[in-house]
This record gives sequence, structure tokens and C-alpha cells, in this order.
Amino acid sequence: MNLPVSFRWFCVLPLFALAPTAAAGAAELPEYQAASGVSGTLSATGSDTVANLTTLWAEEFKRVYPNINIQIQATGSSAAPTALTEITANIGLMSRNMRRGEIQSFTARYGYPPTPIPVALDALAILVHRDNPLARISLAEIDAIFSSTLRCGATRRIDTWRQLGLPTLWSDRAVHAFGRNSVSGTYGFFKETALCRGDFHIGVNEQSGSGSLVQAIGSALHGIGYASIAFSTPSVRIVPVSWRQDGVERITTPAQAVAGEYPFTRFLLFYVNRPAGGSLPPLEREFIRMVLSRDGQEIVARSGYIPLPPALVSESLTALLSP
Amino acid sequence: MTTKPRQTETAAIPGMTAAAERPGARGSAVQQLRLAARRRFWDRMARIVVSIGGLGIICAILLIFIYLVYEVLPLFRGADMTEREYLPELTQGSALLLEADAMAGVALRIDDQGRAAFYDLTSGELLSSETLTSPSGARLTEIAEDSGSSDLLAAGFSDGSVLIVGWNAVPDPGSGAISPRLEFPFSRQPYQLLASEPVRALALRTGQGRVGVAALGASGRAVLLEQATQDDPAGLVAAPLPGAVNVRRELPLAGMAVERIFLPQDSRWIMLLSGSGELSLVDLESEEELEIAHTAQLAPESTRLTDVRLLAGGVSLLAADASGAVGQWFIVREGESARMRQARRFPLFDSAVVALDVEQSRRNFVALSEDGELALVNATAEAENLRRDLGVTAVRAMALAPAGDALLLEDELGGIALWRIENSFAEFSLPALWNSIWYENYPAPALVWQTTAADDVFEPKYSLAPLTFGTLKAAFYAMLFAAPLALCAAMFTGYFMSPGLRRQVKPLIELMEALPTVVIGFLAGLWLAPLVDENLAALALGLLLLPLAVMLASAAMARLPEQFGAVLTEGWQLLALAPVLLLSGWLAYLLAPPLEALLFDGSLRDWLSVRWGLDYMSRNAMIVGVAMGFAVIPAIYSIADDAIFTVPRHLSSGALALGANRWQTLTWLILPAAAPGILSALMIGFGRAVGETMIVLMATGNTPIMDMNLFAGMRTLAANLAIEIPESEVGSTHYRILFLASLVLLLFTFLINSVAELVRQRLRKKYRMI
Repeated sequence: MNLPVSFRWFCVLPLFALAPTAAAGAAELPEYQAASGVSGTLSATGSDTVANLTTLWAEEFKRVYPNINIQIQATGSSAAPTALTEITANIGLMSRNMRRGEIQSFTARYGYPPTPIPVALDALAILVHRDNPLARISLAEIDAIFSSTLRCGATRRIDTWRQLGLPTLWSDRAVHAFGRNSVSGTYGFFKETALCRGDFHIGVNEQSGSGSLVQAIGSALHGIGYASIAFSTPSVRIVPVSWRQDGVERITTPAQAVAGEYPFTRFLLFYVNRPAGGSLPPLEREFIRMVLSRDGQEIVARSGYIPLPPALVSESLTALLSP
Repeated sequence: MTTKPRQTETAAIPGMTAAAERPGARGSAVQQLRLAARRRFWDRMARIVVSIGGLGIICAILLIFIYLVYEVLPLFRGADMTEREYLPELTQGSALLLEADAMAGVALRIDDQGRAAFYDLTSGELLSSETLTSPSGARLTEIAEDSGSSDLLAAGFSDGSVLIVGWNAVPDPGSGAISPRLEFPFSRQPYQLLASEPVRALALRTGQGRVGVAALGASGRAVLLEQATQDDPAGLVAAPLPGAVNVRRELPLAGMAVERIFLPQDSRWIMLLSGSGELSLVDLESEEELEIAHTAQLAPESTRLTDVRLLAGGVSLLAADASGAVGQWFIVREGESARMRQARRFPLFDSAVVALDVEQSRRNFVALSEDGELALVNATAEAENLRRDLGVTAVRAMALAPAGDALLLEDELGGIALWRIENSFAEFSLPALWNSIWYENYPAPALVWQTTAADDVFEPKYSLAPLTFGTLKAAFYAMLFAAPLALCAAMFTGYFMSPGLRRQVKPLIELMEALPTVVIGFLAGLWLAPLVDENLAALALGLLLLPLAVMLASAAMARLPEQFGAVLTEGWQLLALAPVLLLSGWLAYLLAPPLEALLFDGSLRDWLSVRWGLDYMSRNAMIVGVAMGFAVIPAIYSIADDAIFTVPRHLSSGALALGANRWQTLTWLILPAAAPGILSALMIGFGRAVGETMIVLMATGNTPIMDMNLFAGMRTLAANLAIEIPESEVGSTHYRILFLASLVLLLFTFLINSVAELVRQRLRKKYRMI
């Protein structure tokens, strides 16, 4: 028998594995109720993806509390742990999980680890040029295109479209892979999930932003790449990803991310400094409550990301508000 | 400087102005003396100010250089080790496990009686101790560390059961007191792997959402159990996924005398090691029944293996033998099959290796010889960081702390010795920066630059060779495009063009320099690259047609009647050429598709890639050459034009009078005389191309490949710095290697400019007589 490949990432979304019926939509969530005694300055540092969303949340938040001040710095996920540890930010914005070393240096300082709070779901789409006829792509094929280490089960690298089963007109054409540069959380996430922690092939073109990556694939007929679904445009096409579970092939699209069935699904996270057994200051608590309310999650949907399933939101809120 | 003092003078002494300006007048001698004194004063002041400015610039450049060296130097410092300290307590029994925690503040020792003792490594005291037993009271027989990055342990008991044990040594946030204890994150209920026989060998693997435990029984049976787990957001402590089923599989041993089991991080494989040093690889994802996919002999002929460990990351196997060498093995794909290959071998000692231990995230290991000699080695960089004679012979257990900052040794009397180690830059070695290195899972040694990943156990790859190559490649193609254009333009404007027109054209070309490079890069990446992509054939045809059309047009112009010819001289020919150029460009665009269909089966790109193996990437060296060429043209042109224009006119007039035509005058007289200036122009252009960042960053795919192909991309030192400096942790090996890269870049431009200056001086001497 063979163990399902999905085991690798099922762990990322354990809650969905338990409750795959979680209905999509922020509509089920309660609306945000303003609290009293909220004042001061909130500063957030980290991933640019999450920072974009946070700017929108901050606007909404300032409508409720006009007197507060919110500062947001988009410097990349790697900046968040340092900022949180050195208290130059109240909230660390990350599009990947903290590394072990990052948690360790926080724990060494405070004696307890930083608290992660998922705020939205994001799915990485595999993109090709809009005229590309590729119907689907398997996990092993993705690894064979992007990696040089072949850790996900493929036996040889893929360099032409023929190896992906495309018709004659395409067969001799080379596959041109596009990716993000190494400062982005997307790069690290893709490396960990799609390459099975292997290495990128040196021929993968690195783009400095998701927008320019999508633009590059839109103008390169032979291109293939990955980007957050929020960046997808009509010039590119999202290729469904197939994987096998218990010998059955399943074909999934990023739309199935919320059901936990799409392999390249990740959380966008807030990290906060919450003392063990203590509670958060009112300003941070209310901001996170607003983000996890119907208003906050509707902003997520409007920006092209995926709102959190209500079950997960209520669990996070319970954990957050319990003393 | 000379007029100003006089003005102050006249203002200071009104009424004497007329006398002062009339030489020979009575008061003028005094006046002139005073003037001279003032002039001397201002001269001196000017000299001082200018000298201070000049010295300041030299100092500033030196300071930059010194700062770069200062940031790079720690890389070369090597490792260091403190003096030995002893923990006051003597231990009992023989140790099954000795390990330090991540901060190297607490050590855990578990002996064969199941006693787990925690020691404070700062004070040396015994913090606490407890006994590890199975709930049924069976005796502890074997313990194994996780091949992943967790601190979890697997404990095997005499009744064939296995328990997953964690340990926690985090200080209390309030008091700072450490109260370490064993934890059971999975369950206190053990897995029953083997039926009532003692566990003889054990392996544990966590991470990527599942846990695997493999146990070998005293009877020679081996069983693997796997279960899905739920990792916390950091992927740290794993707990079983509620409701997940255990998958239990018997392993094929086929009569082998298996001694040890290894579970590498790639969950596809399990490794079985026999007593004779034969390693068998079992593919856990094979569709049929499990069988051995490949075997390899880890021990060289007639030597005995003394210790085998998985290196950090759980990919490589280290095999130490009695000859004093340690070999690094990992799985390599060869066609359809997977093979164990020995990537490198470290002949460390003259006597047998007796103990081996590894760090948790870096590819570092320590080996101890029979004679008590210790070596601390980074496997990837093939760098021996430290060698020390410890003078210990009989060693019962050795442990390198997870971060590699402490070493624990238990001697035959039961005393534990502790050394603190400083080895922050183990992953750096000069040969590894420039030589091919065989990285884990790579099919062959390669020059690779890949420094980051989201996980901690990533093997960083620091090879400056592809970056240096990319820098030179980009500069070469930029010069290939820019140098002929800029020099020809300089010859034309500096020699042929009428000075009036030149005065208008030259600032126009120099204005190109005012364009920010980020704009050029942006245009090149997002506008030019797709355009060339679509019209490659038209471009190639244009390259053929345009020069042809220019030559034809020139020939036609020379045959024009006299009155037209007079108008079309002194540079105005250019305007007449413009419609010819436009027309031929349009013709190329029209002719390209039918020609492409006729000659290249419809697509020049596909034809190139199939017929000649030239893969056309849309972000390539040609685009960079054009864009960066555009940026360096003004620099080259401006200096070269000045050099040509300032060659004295009487020289060329003389040559012309002696019967040379204008072309001969230019090539035989003007160009040699202007050679020093032209060379400076080229070198300044080249230096600019080497250091240019934004254009390369935006117009290429930043692929660190080593391919001179015009249609392939590259990654340059400067672009790499711009990409990676923001993400690198200050003071880390990566950070310092990036500074080393900038030092290399500085040395490059320094060398180029020095050579250029030397050649220029010699040329100037040679042509001084004219």
C-alpha cells in the first residue's frame, strides 16, 4: 500500500481534516462590536502580503476607533520575529510559520513562545500562459519542473512540454519556470511543500514580486510559475493540481483550499507576544477581534484571499479571549 | 581666487583704487606686496581646502574598504574551544543517551537502568532525575534520537514496546529556575511494535505531518510503524492526529544480520545496516511488497565500521571506520533508480574513530579518535573547523550540543567533562566558495548559490562562482552592444561632425545618463523582453538588413550630384539616413513571418532550441546587454568623444595636406592619439556595467547559472546583494558571505580601473611626441 502524499500537508490544516464540511464565507461570522477603553499606538511589521491586508484592516479599525494610531511596515516575513522579540512591533505579520531558531530566540528572552493567530488563508496557484493547453499537473511533475533534488517521487527532471503530455505543437518547447525571490515567504513555503524541502533548480527565473511574476508568465508562452491566487489575472491560467490518495487520483484547484484539499494552502498569520497565562493589551485584542469578525474576513475575501472557516475563527477567538 | 582678494582690497581702501591699478605709481609697491601676501594666503587656503577634500575622499573609500573587511574577517577566525570543566556528580551505569538542550544549558543522560538525570551545565549540578519505564514495568533497552529537528526520543523496552518521549528544559519566565522533566506528547501508552522481545535497535523520524518508529527485535525481526501527526504552527512538538490510524509494516530482512536502523527525513526510505557494514535501502512507497531497492558497502575493504550517524537534516549518513576516516553517504537518483553514493570521505585520524556526534541543524559533526584526538568538521564545506588533542582515551559517551556550542564527554570513571565551543561560521570555507561541491541529493558536484529556505535544516549553498560568472557575462554582453555604438558615435561626432551640430548632439546623448537605471530595467523587463520574445525573427532579420541598407544608402549618397552632396556633409547625412533605417526596419518586420515559416518551421525560437540546443529564455543576456548597454553608452561616448575632439586640429590638417583621406587620418592618427582617453572610456563603461544593479535585477530572471549562451539569463553579484541583504540575519554566515561578495565586486572594479590606468599611462607616454 502507499501512504497518501497528502500526509505531508494534511498536518498544516488539521482542523479541516476533521471538519471538511466547513462552509465557506465570512457571512456566518458575527459582526464586530466596538469595545471601550481602546487607545494608543499599534505597530505591525513583516510580510508584505499580510501587510497589504493589514492596511485594509487598519482603515476599517480606524473607522471604529478614530483616535488610535496604526503603523505598518512591510519588510518581509523574516523581519517579523526580530521586531516582535525586540518589541519594535506589537504584531508580527508572517506568510510562513516561524522557524525553530526564531521561536527559540523569542523564548529565550521571555520564557514562553510567541502566539500565532491565523488571520486568512492563502493558496498558491500553479500558473501557465492563458494559451497553454495543460489540463492538470501532478505533485511529482511540479517537483520535477522546479527542483534539482527530486524529493517528491519523480525520477527525472522535466524540461520540455512533451514530458507533460502536451500535443505536437508544444512538444519540443522548453518549460520555462518562474518563481519568487528568496526573501519572500512564498519562496520558502513552495520550497517546503512543493519541493519536499529540496532545492530549486538553478534555471528557475526569480521575480521580485508576485505581480511581476504573473505578468512575466502572461507574456511568456512557455512559462509556468506559482503565485498567490490573489495575484491571478486573465493573462494566465490556473492549472489544477492532481495527487493520489489511497490509489485514487484527485484533481484539485485553489478553490478547494478551504476544504483542506488543495496541497499548497497556507495560513497568513499574526504573531503576538502574549505572556503564558496572561492576556493581550486591549488595543491588540480588539484589533485581532476585528480581523476575525465578519467585517475583517469580508476584507479578506475582497482582496482575493480566502476567509478562514468559521469553526477555526471561533476556536482562535476562544483561545484569545480566555484568560 | 585671484580676482576676489582684489575686490576686497578695493572695497577696504577706497580712494586708492586708481593708484593701485596703475603700475609704477609711488604707493603701488607697498600695495603690490600686500596683494602678493593676500594671494599667497588665499593660495595656501585653497591648497589646504583642496587637500582636505581629496584626503577625505581617499579616507572615505578606505573606510568603506575597511568596513567591508571588518565584516568579513570573522569568517576566517575559525573555531575555538574553552578549557575543560568537570560536572561535580559522577554518573552510574552505562549511558544509552547523552544530550544537551538547544541552549546548551541543560544536559540529559539516560542510562541502561532507565534513570534519566538532568544536569545544569552552568553550575554543573544535578537538577532532577526520574526513571523512564514502560507502564507495564518493562526495562529500557534502547533509545534513539529523532532524525528530524525535534528533541523527541524513542525509548524501546524489553517487552518490545516503544514510547515517544520529549523533554523540556525551558526556564520559568518569572524566577528563571529550570525544572526539566520528561514529557509524553503522544501518549503514556506505548506502541507495541514487537511481540514480547527486547528492542535491540530503534529509529525515530518526525516532521512533515507524520511520525515513524522502526524497531529491531532481539530475534532479528524489524517493524516500522507510522502515524499521522498534528504539528504546532512551528512544526515543533508533534502530537498524534486524533483518529489517525497506525500503519504497521514488517520490514524485509532476507536473512541479513541487521544491527541498526535509520529513518532518513525523506519518508520514502528506510535504511538497514548489517554488522558487516552493508547498508540496504528499502523503498516504502513501492506498490508491491517491500523489498530492498539497493545495497551499498559503507565500510571500505577490510576495515570495520565503528559508528554510523545521520547528519543534521536526516539526509546524509556519516560512517566512521577503524581506519580513522569518516565517509558521507546520501541517496542520489540515477535514472529510474536510487543509489547510495559516498559524496566525500574525511581521512581524519591515524587511529580508529571511536565516537561521532552531529549538530541539529548545521552539517557539522565531531569525531573522536582512539588516541583522544578530536576533530570538528563541517561536511558540506569540507572544512575542518577545529582539531584538539583532548587526552582522553576510554570514552563511554560523547554529545555535541544541538547548536554545536558545547561538547560533553563521559569517561570510563563516569565523570562528565564539558567544553564550550565557539564555531559560528562553520559553513564557510574559501575552497567551497569557488569549487564544485556535491550537495545532498544532487546527482553530481555542482556550483550552486542557494542560501535560504523556510526550514532550519536546509543545507545552504554558497558558491560565488556562478555570481561572478554572471557579473562578467552581463558586463561582457553590455560592452558588446555598447562599445561599438558608443565608439563609432564618438568618432563621428568628434571628428566628422561640424562643431555646431556636435554641440547639440552631444548633450542629447549625455542626457541618456540622466535616465534612472530602475526605469531602464523596468522597461527592459516588462516591455522589451516580451517584445523581443514575439519578434525574435524580425530582430534577427533587422540585424542583417539595417547595416546593408546603410551601406547601400551611403553608396547612393556618394553618387549624388554636387549641389546635394554639399548639403549632406558635416553630419547632416544622419538625417538623410533616418528614413532609410525606418524603412528597412519596417521591411524586416514584414518579411520576418514568411521567412520564419519558410526557413525555421514557423518559429526561430523552437528551431534554435531543437536544432542547436540554444534554449531561449525571455529574460536573457541579450535583453540585459541592450538595456545595460543603453546605460553605459553615454559614459563611454562622452569621454571617448572628448578624447577624439581634443586631438589638435593641426595634426589632422597636416595629414590631410599630405594627401591622406579623412578615414586614413582618423584611423592612423586621431585614434592612436586619442587611445588613452578611449581606453579610459571603455574601462569606465565596463566598471559601470560590473557594478550595475537595478537593470540586471529587473531585466533578468536572476538565475545563478553558468551558461555563456546569449539567450540564457544570469545572476550578478550586485543584483544578488540587493536581493539577499534584506533577508539575511545580521552577523550570520550568510550576511558575512554577502559582504565578502561585495568585497569581491569592489576588488573587480579596483583591478579593472588599476589596469586601465596603467595602460593609459603607458599609451600616453608612447604618443606624447605627437
